[in-house]
Amino acid sequence: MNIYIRLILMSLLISLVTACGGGGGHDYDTTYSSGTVRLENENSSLSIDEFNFSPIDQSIWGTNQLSSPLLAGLSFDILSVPTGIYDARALVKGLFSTYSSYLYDISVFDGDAVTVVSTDSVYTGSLKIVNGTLDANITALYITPSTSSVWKENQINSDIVPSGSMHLFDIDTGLYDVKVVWDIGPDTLYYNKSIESLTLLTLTAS
Amino acid sequence: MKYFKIISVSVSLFIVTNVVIAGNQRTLANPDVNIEVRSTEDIVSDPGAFVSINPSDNAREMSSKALRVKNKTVAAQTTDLSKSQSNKKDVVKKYNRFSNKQGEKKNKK
Repeated sequence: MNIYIRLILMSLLISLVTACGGGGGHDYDTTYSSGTVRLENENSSLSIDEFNFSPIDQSIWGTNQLSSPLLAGLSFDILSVPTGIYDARALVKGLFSTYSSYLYDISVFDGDAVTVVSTDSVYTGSLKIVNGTLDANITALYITPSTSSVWKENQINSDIVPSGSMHLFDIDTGLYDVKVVWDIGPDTLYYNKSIESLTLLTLTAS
Repeated sequence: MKYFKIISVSVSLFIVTNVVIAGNQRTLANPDVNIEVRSTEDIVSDPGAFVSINPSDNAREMSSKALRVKNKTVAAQTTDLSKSQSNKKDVVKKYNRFSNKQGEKKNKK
């Protein structure tokens, strides 16, 4: 009788151990899958100063993935990226301005290696408007793509005083029209000004 | 006497007109400065002058087009470049600078 009780207890113990093993297997199944993202800097000479890589549903770009600027001609790997869909942004801090490049909806599958390429031509441009007068304030500033038939919104909240300026970063490349409104005299108009990648266009208005 | 009055009126009109025009003019700070200056960063124009890496087969090129803008624009109303890019994403909001909001019509000649 005692033997039977022992056998039953051993059976129960074995069952419990087996059940625990099953639980361990379940944990193993939920281990996330991941891929690799490679950033290739094919710029001719400029380093990439910042690279952000964040899920599409995240409202901020997050931390800089680069520990140091990525020199031209080099690549950088981000390992163990959880599978999902991501947005990417690269920043170049140049001598004259700061420029960005974007790539959206990058799918990272399990075991996948995704390559993102940066070249000279894929960055935004910048525009600087300088008040080149001694005695007049710029009271409104309009910048719209040349394809637009209306001026849309004023870009400044306060007047630009003589010798002051407005520096607009991160403008998509293309042709733009600019209207400068003064507190004295007629408006100054510029048409079809080209905003180019990695270039700062300075317009001294008067 | 009649001619004197006519001359006086003409001179007065001329002076008033000049004053009005002068009041509507701006003074240039520096007439010698270039109205338009294009400053391009250090880009090597000759592709053979630098060592290139070969992109992988699955390479995806980045773009200057902000299709889904994340609060990206920063306007610094200063003379230096002290402000940097915003870190905030906004997946819903479009680029407000170039929104669909209507404004005054352009009168291109």
